Amino acid sequence: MPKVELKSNEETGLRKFVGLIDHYFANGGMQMQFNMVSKETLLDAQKHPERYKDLLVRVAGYSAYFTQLAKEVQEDIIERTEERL
Amino acid sequence: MPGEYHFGLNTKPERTERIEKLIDYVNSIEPGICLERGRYITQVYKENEYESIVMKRAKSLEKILENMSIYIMPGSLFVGNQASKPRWAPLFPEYEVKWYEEEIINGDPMYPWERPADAFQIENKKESLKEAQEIFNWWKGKTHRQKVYNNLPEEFAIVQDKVSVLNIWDYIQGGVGHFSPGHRWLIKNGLNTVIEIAEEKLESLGFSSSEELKKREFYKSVILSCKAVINFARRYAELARNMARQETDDERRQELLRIAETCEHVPANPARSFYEALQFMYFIHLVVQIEDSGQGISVGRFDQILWDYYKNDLDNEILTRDEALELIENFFVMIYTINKIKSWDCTDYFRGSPMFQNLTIGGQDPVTQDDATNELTYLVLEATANTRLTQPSVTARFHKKSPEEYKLAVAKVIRLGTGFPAVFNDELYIPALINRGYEINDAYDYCIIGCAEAGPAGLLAGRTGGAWLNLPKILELTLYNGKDPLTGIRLRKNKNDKDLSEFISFEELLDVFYDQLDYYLKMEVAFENIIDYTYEQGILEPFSSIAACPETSLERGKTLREGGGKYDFTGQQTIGIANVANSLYAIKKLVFDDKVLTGAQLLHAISTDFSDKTTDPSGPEINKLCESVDKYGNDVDEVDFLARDVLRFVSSELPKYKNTRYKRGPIGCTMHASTTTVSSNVAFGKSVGAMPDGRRKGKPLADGQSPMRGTDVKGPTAAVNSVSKLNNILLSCGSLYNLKFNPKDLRSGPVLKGREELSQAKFAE
Repeated sequence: MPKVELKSNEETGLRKFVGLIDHYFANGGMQMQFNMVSKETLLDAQKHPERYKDLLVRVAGYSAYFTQLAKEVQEDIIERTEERL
Repeated sequence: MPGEYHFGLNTKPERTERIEKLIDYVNSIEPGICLERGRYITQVYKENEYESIVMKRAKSLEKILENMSIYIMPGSLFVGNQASKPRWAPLFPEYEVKWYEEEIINGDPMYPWERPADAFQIENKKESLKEAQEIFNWWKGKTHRQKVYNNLPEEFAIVQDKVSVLNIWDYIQGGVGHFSPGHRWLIKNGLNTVIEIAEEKLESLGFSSSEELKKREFYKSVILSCKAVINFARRYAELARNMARQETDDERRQELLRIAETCEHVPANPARSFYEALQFMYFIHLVVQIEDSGQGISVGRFDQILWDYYKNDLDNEILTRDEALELIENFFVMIYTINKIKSWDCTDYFRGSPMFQNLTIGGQDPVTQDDATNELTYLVLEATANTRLTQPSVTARFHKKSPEEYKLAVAKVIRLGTGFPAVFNDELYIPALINRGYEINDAYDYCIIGCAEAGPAGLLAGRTGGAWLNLPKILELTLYNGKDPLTGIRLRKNKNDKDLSEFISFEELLDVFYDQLDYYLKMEVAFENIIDYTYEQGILEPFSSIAACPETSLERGKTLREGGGKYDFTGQQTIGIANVANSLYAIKKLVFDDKVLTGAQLLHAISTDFSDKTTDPSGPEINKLCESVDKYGNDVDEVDFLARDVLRFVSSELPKYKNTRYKRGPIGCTMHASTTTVSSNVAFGKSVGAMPDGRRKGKPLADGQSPMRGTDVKGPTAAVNSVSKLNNILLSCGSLYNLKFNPKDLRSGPVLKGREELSQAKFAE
């Protein structure tokens, strides 16, 4: 079976992240979906769409190319709380 | 540089030359509109006016599959196309031509090729538009949409089209979709077996009752459709042979010959290898999307369906792990080529061309209930990391005993920022299904369909999607004694004939709100059933029926719409729970508990969008007060419990209502609730005025059951604690919670280095 090997310095972030999913699911959470993108990146993508044509984001229940979304949907994603682990 | 910490942007996806070229090829083509399907279905309907519905559908499918353009993409190992070009959208005029005409012919509000987003081109404009107009002219007055409106009471239309309490346009303008084909059964049996079963059934049926005569039509239509699909595959075999003859590259010639042999064998016969199984699945997956305009056709539990084929091929040394990976990636690209066009209005609810072709990995074995992850699980994760496309929509099932390395591998792919996979908790989904009457083994075998809806592939009919229910709008109507402040339309007064300025207690407000909610829930149920009744009058699909529920539909001689599934439920989507909880709590705190404001002051403030500076406190000050009240998403019980109670009301009321298949065969046949959203929170937000939660007029609502964006400020643990307080187990149709992270916190070192990160994205030994 394939093994996932983590470098020691990335253990913390990824394990914390998995820990959060575990915590949510152990407490009666049902489903989670994620964006892994900073506000600055999204704002820059609005300014320079040509540089970000491959940038995918999670809307709600699906993913889409950020630069192809309508402005107000882009704003909705930008304004979502940026959680820190 | 702002993208510095973005894992996806900073790593080059690892692709073989074939996959790289294929993706570049598909992405080089702008989406467009293809008239072919519209042309052929119109011819068939014109010539077969007095045929039964199922035979009209079967003959249409036959004509379309016989005549549509087919192509093989450069380097592709799989074949099958939905329209004349990748990501082009076919026409489905039997559903709706009003918006087609308005937008494609008249450019009202704009031509599809002039849209600022989600645009579609058209080729040979002059001739195409002439032909399109002829197609539309024939269908006027005969479409599904027209029939829905004929069946719809006037106030229902107002509730949707003017006040936006709910929105079910997707099922007025298009088909049902939303199922996962019974790939496991189909691949093992082949369509020839389906034809044989249908022929035997036909033989044993008499002519003595209308029921028997109806079943005869069904079986005849199944035979015709399956033969049409087998012939469709043979067209590709012929094309591949012709291309092979002209091919100068030896390797490609061999590939084309292999395609030809495969398409001569499947889907008529059972698949004999991993490669044939994938091609088989793709044919089924594709054809149901040519037959019908519905979206959300989902692949099911990919790693479980294909495991035996994969293992067998590996054992017999006719396949390597790397070859399998490339095949999976090629299969993903095929899925990505499928596209549909929606009206500009409806596009508002579906931004970014989502097709919701879900693909599930992980979870548990339906019989042993042991962890079901296998090497294919990891291959799918690798393929997701390598392709990075919007489709398929990859989903990972987690359960108590999921291996840590699986969860970490999933997390590593999520970290790339593609939004995939979404993670689903077996410990909630499985009991939620059992609670609705699913047998245990079937519940353990669920896959995700569409966004977040669960059901076992090959067994579930009905539809997992339905109306969007705009909860904040219902609260807004309650605050204004039933009158919509935006349009001035008063739909239904509160039962006490009071507005926010007159309520004497929070309990009184809650009481009238639940009364209004109950009224609109009943209306939603009626809406759903009218639509399903209308489908039954005009659109009954033989091929989708045997694809979605092969065993039960063949046994009963019924389409999905008539009770052909083992299970059948009607879903819906409840939107904006956070806005409702936050608004209710703000009223409770500011007006009734702390008495900082009167109901009249708050009502005036929201009706003027917090902008009236002449009052004391002023509009902007009241806005600040509203914002300062605790919000759902911060682990504050008082407000979280309001969210829980309102959502519980919706999700426990809906299953009390039956759908149109009740007592016609399937298990279930009730409504049930989900919190899936798509982009409806943005669309609905435009019709909701300022609310006591501090949200300004016209702004997007909260998505799914997520906290309102920007108001969950106490960190992710507090946020997930709030969301987990909801009675999620009642959301048997699906739960949706969106979280956004700064990727900085998941990085491996101070700065990402392209290739180094890439090697970490691999999961292979």
